[in-house]
Amino acid sequence: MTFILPLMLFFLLASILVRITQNKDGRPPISFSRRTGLYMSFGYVLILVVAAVVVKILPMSDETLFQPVDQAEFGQYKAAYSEFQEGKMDSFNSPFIVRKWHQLISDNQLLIKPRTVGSMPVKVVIERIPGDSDTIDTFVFDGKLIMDDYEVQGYTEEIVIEPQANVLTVWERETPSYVLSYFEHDGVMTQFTSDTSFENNHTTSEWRPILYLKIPESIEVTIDESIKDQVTEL
Amino acid sequence: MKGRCILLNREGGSTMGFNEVSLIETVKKQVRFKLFSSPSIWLSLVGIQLFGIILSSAIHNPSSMTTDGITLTRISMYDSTFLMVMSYIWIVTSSIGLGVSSMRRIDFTFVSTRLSQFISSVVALVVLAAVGAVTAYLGSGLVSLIINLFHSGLLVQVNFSLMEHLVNVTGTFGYLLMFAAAGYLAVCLYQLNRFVLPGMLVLYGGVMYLSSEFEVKSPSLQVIRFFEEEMSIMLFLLKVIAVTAILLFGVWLVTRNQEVSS
Repeated sequence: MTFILPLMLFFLLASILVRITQNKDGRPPISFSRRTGLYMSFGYVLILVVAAVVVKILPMSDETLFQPVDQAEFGQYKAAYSEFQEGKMDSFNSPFIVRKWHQLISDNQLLIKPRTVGSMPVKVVIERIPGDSDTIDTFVFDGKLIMDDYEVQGYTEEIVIEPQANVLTVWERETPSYVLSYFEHDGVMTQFTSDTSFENNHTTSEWRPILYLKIPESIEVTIDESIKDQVTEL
Repeated sequence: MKGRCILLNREGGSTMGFNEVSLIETVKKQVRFKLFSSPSIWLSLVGIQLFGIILSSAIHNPSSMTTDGITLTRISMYDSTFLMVMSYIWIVTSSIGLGVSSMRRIDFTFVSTRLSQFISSVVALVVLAAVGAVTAYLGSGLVSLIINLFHSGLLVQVNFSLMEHLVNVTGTFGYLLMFAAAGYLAVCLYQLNRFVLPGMLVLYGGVMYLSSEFEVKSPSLQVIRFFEEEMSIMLFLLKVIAVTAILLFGVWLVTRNQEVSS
């Protein structure tokens, strides 16, 4: 189909153009001199060369939403992420913690639930700490979405965590949706080099935000059934 | 290699001059004439490839991807297939243009022989295929630039090294050269006898029918696989050279004894 469609369009347009441009005597009203024709052809090649150079220089991203990944910072992030997830961080002063607060719990009972059944945009880590208290410490460790060499900005901002008395509700304002354009050369052009399929040349790594809860043993914790597999209890 | 040429005047055969003409010089002049006498061959390249570039940058295949049901990614898949198809069309029409009888008659306004005419046509076809391959490949860059400028979102594409670019262009050149040689042979056969081409098409249809009737692999598919499944550029080039040589040998057989008439 990809072969037939341009072929049909080409012959259709060509026949229309020929009919439009021919005079009654069958000669085209517009004709180019040899020199003009060659200048136009060289101009075309020049445009192609400039385009090829610009494509190399121009960043291939939407400037506001996608930013090139800072590899050094991303390395630190990954190390801190796994430590945080396992509760191994000595202090919770990591620059990757984006929110922290104390929540007062009533009736010594805490329910953790999503607003939409089964849909939890964060990972939940619960650390039980000894003692008797009606306050829990909560931290949110930043999430990241990396697409190829670009980081999606504001990935964590859409997540809402609403503490209310003895209920902690988590949801996302709306499902994040991103637009990618993928360009691949025709198979003939890349037959002897690398595979240019989307699957083999696109990487997405998603580091979901972590909601870390330090909960005293005196508080009874109930986790909504639909999200139990997304909760880690240390 | 030198050829002899005797120029005669109209009155009755008295010798006006005696020159030795270099075959290489004649071929050079003929190639220059074939490629640059009229801008149409290059303007058609510009027009046809631009059309392919517009199609390639406008038509896309949408799909989507979801990670853990949380993040939705809408993907628009673009490729340079349309541009490549247009380049095939250009090379075939250009080779037909080179092969038509009017062009061959013009060839003999030069001091030329069948051999110089044939060699110049072959060289012109090689030049056309090379220019077509380079511009088609560079045109892919223009397609991705247009996508980047006029479509929102992140553009993902494979980056090649310089050597890979060269290999890609060489592969493209190989395909275009075969199309050029096939187009040139087709027009020569058509001019030899107007029934040859329809006859070959009927023969092809018959072979296709028989291959499906007897459940034998389609010959055309086998030919396509012969080239498409080749992973080594060197072997591919050998195949291209062999097939192009066979096609051009066919051209030589068809045209060597043809009369030149105006």
